[in-house]
Amino acid sequence: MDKSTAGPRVVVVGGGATGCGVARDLILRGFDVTLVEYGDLGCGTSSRFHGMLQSGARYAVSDTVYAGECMRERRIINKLAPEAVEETGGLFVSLPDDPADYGDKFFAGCQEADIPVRELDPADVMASEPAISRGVHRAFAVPDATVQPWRLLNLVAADIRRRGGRVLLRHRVTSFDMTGGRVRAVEVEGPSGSLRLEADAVVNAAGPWSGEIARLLGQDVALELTKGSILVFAHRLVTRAINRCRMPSSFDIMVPTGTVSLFGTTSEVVDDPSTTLVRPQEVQDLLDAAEPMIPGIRDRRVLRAWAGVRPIVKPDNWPSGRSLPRRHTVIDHGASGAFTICGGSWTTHRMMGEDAGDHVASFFGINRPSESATTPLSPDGGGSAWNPTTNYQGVEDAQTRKRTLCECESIDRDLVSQMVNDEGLKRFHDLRRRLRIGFGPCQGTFCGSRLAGLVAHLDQDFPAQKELEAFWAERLKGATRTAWGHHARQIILSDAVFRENLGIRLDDKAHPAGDDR
Amino acid sequence: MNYDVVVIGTELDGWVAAARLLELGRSVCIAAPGEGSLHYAPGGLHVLGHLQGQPVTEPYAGISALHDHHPYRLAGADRMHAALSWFDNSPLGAGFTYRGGQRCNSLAVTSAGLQLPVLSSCDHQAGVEQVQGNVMTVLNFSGHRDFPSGLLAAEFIRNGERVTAIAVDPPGARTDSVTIANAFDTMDDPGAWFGDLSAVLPGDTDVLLVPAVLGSKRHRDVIAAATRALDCTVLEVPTLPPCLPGIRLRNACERYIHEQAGTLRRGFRVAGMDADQDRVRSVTGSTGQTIDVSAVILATGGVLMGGLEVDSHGKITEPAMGLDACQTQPLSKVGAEQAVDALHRAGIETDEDFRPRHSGSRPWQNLHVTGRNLAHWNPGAEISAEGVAIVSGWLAAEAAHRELGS
Ligand SMILES: Cc1cc2nc3c(=O)[nH]c(=O)nc-3n(C[C@H](O)[C@H](O)[C@H](O)COP(=O)(O)OP(=O)(O)OC[C@H]3O[C@@H](n4cnc5c(N)ncnc54)[C@H](O)[C@@H]3O)c2cc1C
Repeated sequence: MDKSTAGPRVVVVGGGATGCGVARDLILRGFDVTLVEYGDLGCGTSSRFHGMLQSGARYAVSDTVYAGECMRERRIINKLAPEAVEETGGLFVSLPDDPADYGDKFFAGCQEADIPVRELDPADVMASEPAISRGVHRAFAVPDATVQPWRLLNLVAADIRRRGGRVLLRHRVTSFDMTGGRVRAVEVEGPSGSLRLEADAVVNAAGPWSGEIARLLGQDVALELTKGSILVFAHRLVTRAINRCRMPSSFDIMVPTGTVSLFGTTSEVVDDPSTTLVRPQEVQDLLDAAEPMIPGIRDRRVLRAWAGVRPIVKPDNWPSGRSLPRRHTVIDHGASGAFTICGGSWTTHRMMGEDAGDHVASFFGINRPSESATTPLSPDGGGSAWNPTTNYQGVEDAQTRKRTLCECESIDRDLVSQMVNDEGLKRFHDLRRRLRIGFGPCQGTFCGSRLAGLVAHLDQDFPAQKELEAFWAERLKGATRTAWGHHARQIILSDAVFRENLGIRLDDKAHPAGDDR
Repeated sequence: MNYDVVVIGTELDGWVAAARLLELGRSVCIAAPGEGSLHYAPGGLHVLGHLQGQPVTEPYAGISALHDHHPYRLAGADRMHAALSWFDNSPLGAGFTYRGGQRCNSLAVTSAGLQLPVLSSCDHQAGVEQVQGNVMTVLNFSGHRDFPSGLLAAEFIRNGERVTAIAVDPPGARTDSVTIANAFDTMDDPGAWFGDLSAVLPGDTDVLLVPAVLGSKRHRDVIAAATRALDCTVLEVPTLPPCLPGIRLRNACERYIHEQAGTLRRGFRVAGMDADQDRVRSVTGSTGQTIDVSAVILATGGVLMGGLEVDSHGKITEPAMGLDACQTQPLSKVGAEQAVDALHRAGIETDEDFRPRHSGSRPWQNLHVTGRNLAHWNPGAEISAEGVAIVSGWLAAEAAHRELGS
């Protein structure tokens, strides 16, 4: 085991895709790394996203270089962590409203970016994707995939810890000691009080909050925050990620992931990095935009809506109105030893880590190249591919529903007990993120109290009832934004179960750190 | 087919209306697509448990704080009391006891270890007063998922009570509430089954708390046998749905309707109706059968059961009769925090006889609307589901009977 206590001490702020990518890159280069995350891993934008590990085809025309980078990274991630990736494949379909000449440009762009692309017979595509429009006149297959965000982040965090790094969850960076114009230490606040982390350098990877962290560093970083809202539908309405064959814009992708389908996204500039509010009008806009792709979408079973905030550094003199570049930016805050990395995507988070790693290494005059693309994430060299039916297989094999705690996602009681006993995870939101409990059509109506019963049974001192309240409040928040059709009935049933059966009264003051994100 | 009254829906309000009309000598048909929602009901008669988030002690005293058009305000305390007394004295109310007197709530224990104010409890339902200060054992059946006994025990312990949790294999082949209940119903000797349980029961147990699954028909005998065999008090705590206490009540309703020679037509979904000026003359089901009627009671269960529908624009409609639903504001304008409340409070506005006030194309004279279809109440926030069902169902029946004349 290559303990890295000898190298310079770097504190990475933010445990989203970017921070995890940076921290891993640094520890592989021999730095002494501490990752500090306000809530749970991926509680920010890295879980409030569209779920795609992009082939890059989306940018094949608008930014061919970035498209190629996505494809390269997408291949690397799949090799490093197949257990967090589902090879759904992706389709680009031309609908009657889409520009007739885009298909050819698209095909050429994909080839230039080294993205494997195949034109398909529209008739075959419509036959194999019964939910999509009957008006497809061109269709292309590309290797888009989906990523299970928490699964991947937890693999990365485990690797960092295994290599001697520290991952501090539920710790908030409150200030920096910059005596003499150099990073000396990072002050953090956690559940058991404040901590001072001595540091030689800091990487600000706080996503939409990086403007705030930059201010604490005495720096001004001009970010443009764009909120994107996503509608979640029950079941997989499509088997592959369906993209509109046109210049990338809002409202043009339907992604099958887990037991659901995600349609998005809206796009609007916001001031508050913590905003997760989906406005009713956005919901209507999403439905209207989805209709041409998935006819009858308003009658499909909807589950909830959520929003994430994309942080993009605005290049100087960028023409207004032009959509901002997708590529990330690393800002070197001079001789202080502080860096900000921002923008980019989930798909390219490893490459972003490498870039930040290059900057930090050269700051210390260390000439050790990145190893994050080639070093396996797990000691056993990566598990088997993630498969949405893995959980169901267990249920099938046992031929019993006895031990099932969450039917929608087929989560077994033993899986939960394992998490509680082996990893000490008891917070319901942590368990939800790792196991997908409560993600299905019932949105926690039935599994919530079962989870509470089990956790309380395993640890009588844990405030399971309060957690149950917070769990319900969070599920309800997203679910009520889509209160129509069968889902409206589900919400009333859920209310009946929580209030009229369990006797819980909503108390929405109590949101533990990070669960409000 | 021709009836005095057709009751649409197998909700508690529908059963109550039908039972009352049959008692008054009317011919009644209950027509419904399915089983209704009583299996969601955890047991106990919830009349008014919470107001502004605070527990209510005297439900009748609390009604003045409700919305002007809340079903209880339409009824008034006297008529409310008449309806609830009727229920209490009817065979439907046979399994219920007032623990705090006829006008005061007592507190029932929930499986989350919390307390719910209830006007009358099911016999053998665990109440706070009966368990507090006693040495308790919580029983769960291994593999039964719908009873979070760990939570119940932990909450009691946190409150300083003495509780042990034990788990044993359930009788019967499967581990869901209904199968377990059936196993108790058909068991040769429940006393012997509980006799075996005494081997694992802590010796100092005063009160044994069991999930409310000890049968759907013979539960009283089973509990009596358990009490004798274990020599301690045996009390039931409601499980998650399906809830046996609600199923028992539904069974009691159905039995009474049959005894009174009412007709029950399941699988009937109203698809249309025929009217003559301001009177409904017949209703037609989705498969074409028509029922001629002199009056209609619409007990279709609100949003929960499809009696009201919400579309993706947030607009609420009443699909069976095309009545106008009242919505203070469209759901699309309501914040996420108020959405559940807005969903509950939307519904049909009626007069004091539960006739729709704004009734779409015309003011119906022989149509009454009940239960969750009604506007301006919120069963979750008020803990008032059974109370509103009984009061509106009973008063709708009285009104329909009056209108039909002799
Ligand atoms: C709607 C939407 C859809 C998207 N879809 C895709 C997609 O399909 N594919 C794709 O590749 N990319 C997608 N992206 C982009 C991708 O999600 C983001 O680029 C990526 O998740 C950003 O990660 P991050 O780590 O920079 O930010 P975040 O995930 O937000 O991480 C920042 C972290 O910093 C923490 N933090 C903040 N303040 C502090 C503090 N004071 N102390 C400690 N920690 C702090 C936060 O809690 C947070 O966890 C999408 C983005 C959006 C908005």
